[in-house]
Amino acid sequence: MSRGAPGAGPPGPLGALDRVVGALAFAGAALGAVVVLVTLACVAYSVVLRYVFATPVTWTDELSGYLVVAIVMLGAAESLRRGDHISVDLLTAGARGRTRLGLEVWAMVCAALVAGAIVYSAVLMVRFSYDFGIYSEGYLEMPMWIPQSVLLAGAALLGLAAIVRVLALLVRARP
Amino acid sequence: MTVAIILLFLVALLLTGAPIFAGLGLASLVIMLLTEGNVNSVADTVFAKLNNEALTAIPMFAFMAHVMVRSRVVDDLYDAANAVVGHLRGGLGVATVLSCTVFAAISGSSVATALTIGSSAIPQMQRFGYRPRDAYGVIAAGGTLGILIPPSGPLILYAIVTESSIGALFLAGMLPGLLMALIFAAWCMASAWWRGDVRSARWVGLRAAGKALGRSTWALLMPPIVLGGIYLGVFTASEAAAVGCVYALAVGALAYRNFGWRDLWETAFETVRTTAMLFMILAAAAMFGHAITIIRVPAELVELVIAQGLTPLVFVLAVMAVIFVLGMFLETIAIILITTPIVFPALLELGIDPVWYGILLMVNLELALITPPVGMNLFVIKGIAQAPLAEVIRGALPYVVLMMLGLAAVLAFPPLALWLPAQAGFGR
Repeated sequence: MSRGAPGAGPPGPLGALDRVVGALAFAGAALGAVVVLVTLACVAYSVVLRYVFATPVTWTDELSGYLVVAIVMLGAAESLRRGDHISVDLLTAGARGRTRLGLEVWAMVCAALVAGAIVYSAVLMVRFSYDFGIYSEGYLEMPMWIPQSVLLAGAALLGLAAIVRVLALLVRARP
Repeated sequence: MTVAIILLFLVALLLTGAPIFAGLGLASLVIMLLTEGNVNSVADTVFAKLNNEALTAIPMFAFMAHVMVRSRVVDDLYDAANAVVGHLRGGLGVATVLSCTVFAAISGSSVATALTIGSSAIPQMQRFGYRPRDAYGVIAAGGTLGILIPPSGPLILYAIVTESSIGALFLAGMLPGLLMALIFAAWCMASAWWRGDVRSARWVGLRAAGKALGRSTWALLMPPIVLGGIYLGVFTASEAAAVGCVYALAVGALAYRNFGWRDLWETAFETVRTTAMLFMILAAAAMFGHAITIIRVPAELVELVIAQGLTPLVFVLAVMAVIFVLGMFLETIAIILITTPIVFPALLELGIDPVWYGILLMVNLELALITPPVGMNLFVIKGIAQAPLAEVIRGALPYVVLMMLGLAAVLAFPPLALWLPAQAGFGR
């Protein structure tokens, strides 16, 4: 198991792109951190109202679900850039040179493909929810395209981060 | 047959070193493309899995443990345990197990437990004549209690995947967790007696022991606050986690006075990273669950079990054997999320209690944490002690056997896991 370290930024226009994506990923995770605190406040608030004032809150459960989606998807790209996503490096830890580069590229291509599939299907999902005006069945009557868009945005950012990493690896490897 | 092919394909993909969420997700995409011809349902599947209020318990328990560690509330735990039991034969080992047990009831992570207790216990044990490998072994093993003794991140994920009660699973993990702790402690005492060359700490006297315990009061109060509410049926797991967070923040900021706004921010940021890492695997596992259902893997397994006339015990033994082997190579969360959707329908068909199975799974995953070549806790200890991996592995080996004893005990006496939740009124 390992957590890969992010490399130094590449030069030139790719470097600029890398910095932009990096800033977006960081902003996403920072927003996610705020969402963590909001979630905590939200559940704590409902505990106090339910057990101290005996007036259960009806909307916190539903909201918490959307907040979980937000925490994960907003943090995914930053986690990728920081090499937090765990992997099994039993066979690959010893790889050097071109093999190592190939494996790193492959890992990021996998991540980009999965993120891409989520983005593609999330576009269909959000468009459907928006066009047909799908609302949640809970107390909030949330227009579903809103929380679903967070999934879309987070996956897009994750995919972008993975692609930029692939490009950076390839550029760095060029003699 | 299909199960074997899919598992092999998946393990091969994961062994390429791709992030687990990416490997698992890609395998699922391939299956979906081969069968349905499109991946249109991916986002729906992922959204439905993540949009779950019960999942908030994991970031909140993680946040709570981060706060307790960062504000140094848990730093005195090992010293307190040492003051109380350190004078026994093998007492420093027993103190390590004891402090791991308490920390496990604060944190839901085995790695965090080994990391936190290990950094204070390893130097101390070596000073008292323990062979390095023995010190490594007891921390590797004691640390694994983190996922069995509630709260436990992996147990929550298991509960989410199987739609079981988190509260019931938490309570079910308690007695087996304490039993394992007792077994480890007994082993520490027996091996110290047998080897004869490890020293014990001096008995510090009742007053000093009381004082040492007093320094850890705030940490020691945490488990009853968090678990008490669940036991009494008052709180759900996420409510208990929120209460625990508020308590941890209050203790850190007001009693210890070393948790400020900056710490709050960094803790929240750390929590996002941990949560994103864990739940991306959950998202990929949702895709995987969907994919294997399309190709009817779980259903075929049910048919196979019926056709072969397997008894529940034989089936559970077979599954445990497979998981033990997977545990040598894969990481615990991945194992839970990959195997559970495959075997769960068969478990229900055979009338096996999901809570009991969940605890068996957890004990088996504790083994996974210390079985080479891939065992998270082995790596953690290698890291903090700067020790050769082979030495850590050798130290952990006796505990592999002891944990198998624990696994056998839960297998042979299901009430060990099921009695407590039944007492608390969790039933079906």
